[in-house]
Amino acid sequence: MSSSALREFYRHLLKLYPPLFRTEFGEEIQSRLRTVTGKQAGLACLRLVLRELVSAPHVLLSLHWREWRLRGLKSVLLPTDLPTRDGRHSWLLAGMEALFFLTWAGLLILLTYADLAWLKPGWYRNAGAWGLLAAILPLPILLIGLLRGMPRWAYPYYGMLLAHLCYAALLYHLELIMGAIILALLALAVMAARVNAHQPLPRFAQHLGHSLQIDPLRWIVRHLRRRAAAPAVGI
Amino acid sequence: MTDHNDPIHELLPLREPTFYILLSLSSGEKHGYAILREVEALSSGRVRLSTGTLYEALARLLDQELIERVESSGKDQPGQHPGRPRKSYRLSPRGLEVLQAEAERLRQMVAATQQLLSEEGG
Repeated sequence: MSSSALREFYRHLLKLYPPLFRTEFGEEIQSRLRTVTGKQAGLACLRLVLRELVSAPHVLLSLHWREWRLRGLKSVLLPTDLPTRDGRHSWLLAGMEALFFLTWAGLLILLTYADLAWLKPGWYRNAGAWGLLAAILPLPILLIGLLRGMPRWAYPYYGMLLAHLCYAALLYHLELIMGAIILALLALAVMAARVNAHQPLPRFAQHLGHSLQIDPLRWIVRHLRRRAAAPAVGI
Repeated sequence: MTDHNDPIHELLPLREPTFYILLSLSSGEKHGYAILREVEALSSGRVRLSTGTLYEALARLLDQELIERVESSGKDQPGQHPGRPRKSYRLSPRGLEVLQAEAERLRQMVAATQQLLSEEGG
């Protein structure tokens, strides 16, 4: 088997790898391949291909799962972990944020001021129902944002939740509760900014911890583990 | 005594390829191909990593901060783009701790096995 055929095989195999992994390691893998093919030929190359093919299913599954688990929605929506962060990346990020925010803001404005009389009779002619839907729909996205460590794309939803809570509190004359909500959300925002990547918690709790920075919880878990591991003292 | 509160012990036991990759990096920074060769040599040819397996492991170890990536502008290798910095990997302090903890775990296992077998033999 020729070295050029092996390079072609790798080129196709690389397409199956997840995008972030390809961005991070693709060039390096191909560079490594050039080194190997420069030293081996014939049967040795064939052995290499077979080795890659045998390990490929496990590696691909593992990498795709890892990328989904670690990056989740972030990798789909925003490639925030690309190794080369340049001006273009910042513009992309800002554009995505603006797109999310403007979509929902536009929807709310449309529902408030547009005349829906042209629609057939039904619940969908009720602007209030649409407003409620617009208020509820961002919540799952906000939840995903919280679980993913509050990435920047989730911020508009965070603001919208705050706005909805304030509106409801004002509507029912619950100014004190509104003040408490604003303070709590501000405190969460400050704590979310202080992210610690080394938390001895399960991954799910780590994500939640990254979002909320539950240092007291971390301390309690450590304390409980220490107590559980400490040898019992007999009398 | 092993401190099980230490998050390092949550990473143990290491899989054999992971152990050999960390071990190969304990002697200094290396690039991908050198790691492959070293792993093969350290395991007496028993562990032969495919490129995919190697880089999957390297990505995971980078995530866990057990290794660090360094850009070295060393001597050009065959097949390398001339003048392009080469990416190498080195063991992080945390990676060294994990490697030492795994080595200690293996040492305890071997010691226990040897003791038991010698008792049975005697």
